[in-house]
Amino acid sequence: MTLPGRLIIMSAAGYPIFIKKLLEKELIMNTIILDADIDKLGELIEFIGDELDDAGCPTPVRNKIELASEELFVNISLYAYGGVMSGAAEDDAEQGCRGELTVRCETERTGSGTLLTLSFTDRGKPFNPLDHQDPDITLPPEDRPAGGLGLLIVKRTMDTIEYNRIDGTNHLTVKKSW
Amino acid sequence: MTIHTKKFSRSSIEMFLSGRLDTATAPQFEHKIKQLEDDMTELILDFSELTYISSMGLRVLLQTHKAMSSKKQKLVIRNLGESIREVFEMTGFINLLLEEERFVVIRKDEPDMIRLSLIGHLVPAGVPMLTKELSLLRDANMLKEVTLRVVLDVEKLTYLSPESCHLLKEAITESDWKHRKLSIQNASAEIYKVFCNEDMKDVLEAGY
Repeated sequence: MTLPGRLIIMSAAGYPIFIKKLLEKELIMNTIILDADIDKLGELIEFIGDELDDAGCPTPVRNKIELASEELFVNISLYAYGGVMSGAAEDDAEQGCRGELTVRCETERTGSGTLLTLSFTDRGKPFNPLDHQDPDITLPPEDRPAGGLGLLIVKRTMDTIEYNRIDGTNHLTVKKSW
Repeated sequence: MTIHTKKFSRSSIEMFLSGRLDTATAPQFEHKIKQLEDDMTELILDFSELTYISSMGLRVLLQTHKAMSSKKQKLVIRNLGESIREVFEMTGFINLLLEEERFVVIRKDEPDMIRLSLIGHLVPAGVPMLTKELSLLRDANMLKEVTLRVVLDVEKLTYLSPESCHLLKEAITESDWKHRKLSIQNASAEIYKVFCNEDMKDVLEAGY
């Protein structure tokens, strides 16, 4: 069984503040563990939707978060656990592969608003989305490759993206504030 | 997602999409498109009821566009809602749209002014839409003999071509803005530069 989410490392002095935030509901953390299989997308979107409802997220921001979550989830489902697809096989999205994915959703009330942190953790092969170059969106449609759009959407909709490979797991964290 | 297909003539087909075009529904959309007859010349996709699109949906659109243009057929995508338009902007898919579909004007009447929000890409083909709206307002002002303030809100204008800026300047007479009846708000750094090149700094409110 995978440990939910990433490890939280904090100093002894930071700990009471963390607990206080949890108790006062300034920080809400929830985790879902699901198969990295595109059929489970609905479950993930529902989970994140519930968290965003609780945090009072406005609709335009919510659309962006849902979109980024879908793109990240689909990417992991298709590529993380060996079912590499390229060229013509790319269209067969249904032939996903098995493996677990943990998604942790944190919403924290800050002085000026709310900060959302979504962490995706999988034990698949190393994949750093930040290593990949964005597709050239100025090319005429005829010359554009079909790939790379999902990650581009994540970069354009979220405030920050961070990737770490720790002990054989991919940790991808995106943040968005409103 | 639901798809309604309407056939106007032997060669022109219109599809109305509503709901979500995402990873789950994109295969259904792709299937519908593959079923279309080969002898059509034009496919119109109406997105007015579409609320969400992800990269899987965009992928089908791109494939369709490529396949159709190789057969000299025309793909028209129209009536994009705001959130779909945003996704089109960030991925460059806005270039799949016809010029006149890349720009919209939304009018909002506020107590002491009228706000025209300019959204999307403004190229010369889109200018008449805006100038028409402005001349209607000017006529209404003359009828009522009151002077309404008009604000052009360009916060969501993603592109302003120099030529269309020039045409816009011609349409807004100088007296309009010298008397502060018309002003432009919320210009981004890039858009601000285009206005300045046309010598329209005066009309920009609370410059960038």
